[in-house]
Amino acid sequence: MASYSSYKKINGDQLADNSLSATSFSGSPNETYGVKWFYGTNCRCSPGCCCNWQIPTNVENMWIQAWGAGGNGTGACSCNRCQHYQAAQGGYYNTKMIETKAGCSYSVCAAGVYPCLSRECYGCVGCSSYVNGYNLSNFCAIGGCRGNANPSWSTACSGAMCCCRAPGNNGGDFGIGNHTSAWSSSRHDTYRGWCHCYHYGHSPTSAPLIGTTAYQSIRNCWIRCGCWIVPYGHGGLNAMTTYCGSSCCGQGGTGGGGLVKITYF
Amino acid sequence: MASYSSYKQIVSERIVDGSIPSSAVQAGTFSNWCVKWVRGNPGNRTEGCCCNWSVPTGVTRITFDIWGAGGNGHGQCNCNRCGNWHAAGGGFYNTKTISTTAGCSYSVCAGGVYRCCSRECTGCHGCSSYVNGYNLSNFCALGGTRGCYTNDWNDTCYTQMQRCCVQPGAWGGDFAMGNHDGASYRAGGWNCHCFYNHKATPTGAPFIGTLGVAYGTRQCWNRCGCWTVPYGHGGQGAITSYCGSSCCGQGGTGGGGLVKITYV
Repeated sequence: MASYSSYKKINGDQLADNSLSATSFSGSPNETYGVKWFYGTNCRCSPGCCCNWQIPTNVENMWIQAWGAGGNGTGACSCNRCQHYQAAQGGYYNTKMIETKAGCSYSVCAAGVYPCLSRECYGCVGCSSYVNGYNLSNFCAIGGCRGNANPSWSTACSGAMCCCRAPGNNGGDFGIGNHTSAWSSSRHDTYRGWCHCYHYGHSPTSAPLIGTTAYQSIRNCWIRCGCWIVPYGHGGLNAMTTYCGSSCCGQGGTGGGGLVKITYF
Repeated sequence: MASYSSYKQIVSERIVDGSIPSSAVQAGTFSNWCVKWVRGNPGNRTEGCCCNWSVPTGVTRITFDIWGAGGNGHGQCNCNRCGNWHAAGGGFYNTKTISTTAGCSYSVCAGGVYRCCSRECTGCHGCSSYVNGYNLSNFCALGGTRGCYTNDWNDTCYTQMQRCCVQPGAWGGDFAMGNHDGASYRAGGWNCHCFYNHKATPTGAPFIGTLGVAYGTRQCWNRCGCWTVPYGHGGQGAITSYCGSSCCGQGGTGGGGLVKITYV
């Protein structure tokens, strides 16, 4: 039976067409819009950033974009002949649009990097960034592939997808990766054997949609570490030498940390 | 005490949930979402664009994405031996999302470039882009690092965040980042006859992601940094594969800054 309060209620169809405009509302229905970034510090051994994030009041949609950390650079591991170097790959990108509810809680992790400055002939793979919670399942963006070094002069100098991810993998709507860098070419003096090389260069790659650049080359140098911090998601720099039989102590650098960007509405 | 007019007013509790048809709502009431770009012309020596922007009716939230201008390229300044150069860097990126009110006014400036086409060994840094107004404080994105030219063969060739290693949250934003400065390449040859002076690569700005701008010579008296580069990208330098030339090669300017305003 209708009560007085229910009797007082107005049915919306009593409203005349076009009778409500933006000024009829106390606030914009769009004022729940926001953008939140998750990241670790921008440093060589970034631990990344993992936290719990709650959906603000009245938010019903989220657009999540995630980038994995870049791979670490290789050490200068020259032994008995000139080396080839392949620089590290930038982190992968993944994105997902979902419906959500105010108060829902999400575990958000912007990847850090393995704090290893490799002396070996390979670095470490970058860590994954991920988000877990309501309407998400195994959503992540994997880290970039590590840098490598070898003495094989027959290695082709080409960039490649070290891990080919199809869009829709890793729980997202669309994901994409970049190439690893090409293996470096070099020149050498044959009359002095296989141990006097020169003109090396390498370029670790960036994460898709960030589009950064890093580069290092040497001409004649006993040892050059991969010292420099690289941008978020970028592959780390390698250590290199143009000689061999050295003390092999050159350390590769770490990749750039991962990122998570959440646009909510 | 309630007046007759207040008594007549309807509060939301008196409206049956889910009963208002879309025909009752004026077209456009909820659709004030829009994106506005502020930028100078894309040509060489751009002056950028500074203006005053007022928040439209019904808008309550804004995201600013801004990029500084790219650094200018170096001149061709070698003297008595082969040169070694570092290309210019792309502009920095910064972003901020804020609450606002319709009618608020913002000073918006997409950075231009110093209008110097350097003959000297160093170019000019790129100019900053910025936005000032309600709920913003010192919000800007720095310009990219200038290119430079040196005769020192002991210089190692690498890239780094040379000018400023910005942390996210710097310069009044929610998240900021930069790119490495431009890459360099050291020539083959010796003293005054150099060759394979390729390939220096100015860098782009983060989240614009232009790649592939480069310059180099194999055997050439003088090569200016002539070409217009994309928004936010570092400019090309001037180079030669000889020395003792007339030293007149001019570096190019970087790409202008950008401001993107997304509002709802």
